[in-house]
Amino acid sequence: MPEVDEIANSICEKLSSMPERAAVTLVTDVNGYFSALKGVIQHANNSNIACIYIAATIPSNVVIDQMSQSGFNLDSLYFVDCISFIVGSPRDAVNKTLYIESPTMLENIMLKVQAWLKRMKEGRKMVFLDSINTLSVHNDQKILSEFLHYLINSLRVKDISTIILSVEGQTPEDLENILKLVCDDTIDAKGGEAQAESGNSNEPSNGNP
Amino acid sequence: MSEQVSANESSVQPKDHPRCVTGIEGLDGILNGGVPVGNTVLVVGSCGTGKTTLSIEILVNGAKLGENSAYLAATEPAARVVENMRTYDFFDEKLIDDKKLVFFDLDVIYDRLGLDRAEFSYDDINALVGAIEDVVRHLNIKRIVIDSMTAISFSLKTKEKIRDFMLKLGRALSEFGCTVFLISEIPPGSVQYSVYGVEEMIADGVISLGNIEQRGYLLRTINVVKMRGTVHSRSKFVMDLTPHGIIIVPLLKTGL
Repeated sequence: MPEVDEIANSICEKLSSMPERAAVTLVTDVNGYFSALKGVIQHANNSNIACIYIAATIPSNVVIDQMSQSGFNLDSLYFVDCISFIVGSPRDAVNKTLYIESPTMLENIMLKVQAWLKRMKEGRKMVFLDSINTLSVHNDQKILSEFLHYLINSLRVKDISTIILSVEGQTPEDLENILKLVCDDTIDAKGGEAQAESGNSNEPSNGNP
Repeated sequence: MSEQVSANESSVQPKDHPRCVTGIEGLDGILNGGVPVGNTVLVVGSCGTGKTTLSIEILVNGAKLGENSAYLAATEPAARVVENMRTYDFFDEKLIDDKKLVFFDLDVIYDRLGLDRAEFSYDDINALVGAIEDVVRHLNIKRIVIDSMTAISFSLKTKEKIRDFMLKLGRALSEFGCTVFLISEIPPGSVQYSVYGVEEMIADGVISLGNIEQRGYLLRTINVVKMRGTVHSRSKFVMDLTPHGIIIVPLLKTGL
C-alpha cells in the first residue's frame, strides 16, 4: 500500500468524482506539493488511468524515486520531462520518459504528449501538468495562455482529462483567469482537506450541480 | 444580388469529392478529410524537412486501407529507402510481401525505355508517362509518390517540358483514380516551391515543409499552400517525425 497522507487521500477522492474528460486546476501550497503529486498518482492507480506526467518543476527521475519509495505503482506513468536537460539531471534512454530541452519549447510539449497518446494502449488516460507556475517562470503569459487553451481542449475532444497543478500565490493573475476559463473545476488543496469548486463548467461535475 | 451569391459560394465547401485519406491525423484535419482523389500534389521542402517520410507514411496508410500504393525512387535506390523506413514502427513489411506497397527505381524504367538522362525529348516524356501509366493500370495503384520531381526536372531541362510532363502525368493517372505526390527539393529559405518555378503552377496542391526558429530553437513546420477541390487551412503547423509516425500540432502564434 502506498504511503499517503490525508491531503493526498482527499485529492484522490475529489479527482475520482470528476467526469472522465474534465479539466481540473489543482491548487496547493508549497508545503502540500508532494501530497498533491501523491494524490494525483493515487487517483491514476486506483482508477486504472494511464497518466502522462509533464515534469517541469522537478526532474522525472526524482518524481520516480520519490513515488517508488512511497510504494506507488508507476507502470502506467509516462513522462514528458522538460527540466532534466537544462539542469543536467541524468537521462535514461530506456525508461518511459520523453525529454525536451527546455520548458520554453511549448510546441514540443504538445508534440510529446501526442506522441505518448499515439503509443499508449486503449483505456482511460489523463495528462498531469506539474506545474503551471514553473512554466510561467520560463514563458510569456500570453503564449502560455495559448498553450493551455490548445492543450486542454485538444485533450478534451479525445475524452482525456487534464489536471493542472498550480501553487498558491505563484500563479500570475492572467493565468489564473485562463485556468478558470478553460478548466471545469478547481480543487483547492491548500493546507488541509481538498475542496472542489465548479469553475466554467462545460459539463456538470459529479456532485456539483 | 449576384455579387452576394458569388461571395457566399466562395466560402462554401466544394461538393463532396472522394478523398485520399492520408492517415496522418493532423493533416487530414487540415485538408478537411484528405487530398481529393486524383489530385497531383507537390510535397515541397529543403533537405531534412520530412518530405520522404511524410510521403511514405501516406503510402503505407493507404496500403493499410487496402489501396495499392507505389513509390518511384529517382534520387536514391529504392532498396535504401525501404531500409530507412524499417526504422519506423508504422512501416509494415507485410505490405510489401502482399504487393500492397511497391517500390521501383526510376533508373530501371529509364533503362528499359532507353532514355537519354542528359535531356528528355517530347517523345521521351510520352514514353515515360506511358510507362508510369502502365504501372498504375496493371497494379491498380491508387496513390503514387515520385521522389523526386526535381530529379526528373533536371532531365527535362525546360519549363515547357516540365509543364508538358506534369500535365500529361496528372491527366493520365487521374483517370485511374490515382493520387500523385511529387516531391520537390528546394534550397533552404527558397521563396518558390520548385527549382524551375513551374511545378507549383501546374500541381493541384502544394504541401510545404520547412523549419522555423521559435524562441531560440528550430521547429519543423507544415502548411498546405493550395489544394484544389477542398477547403483547407492555410495556417502553418508544427510537425514532428516520430518512430510511430508524423505528429502535427498548431504553431503557437504569440510572440511570432
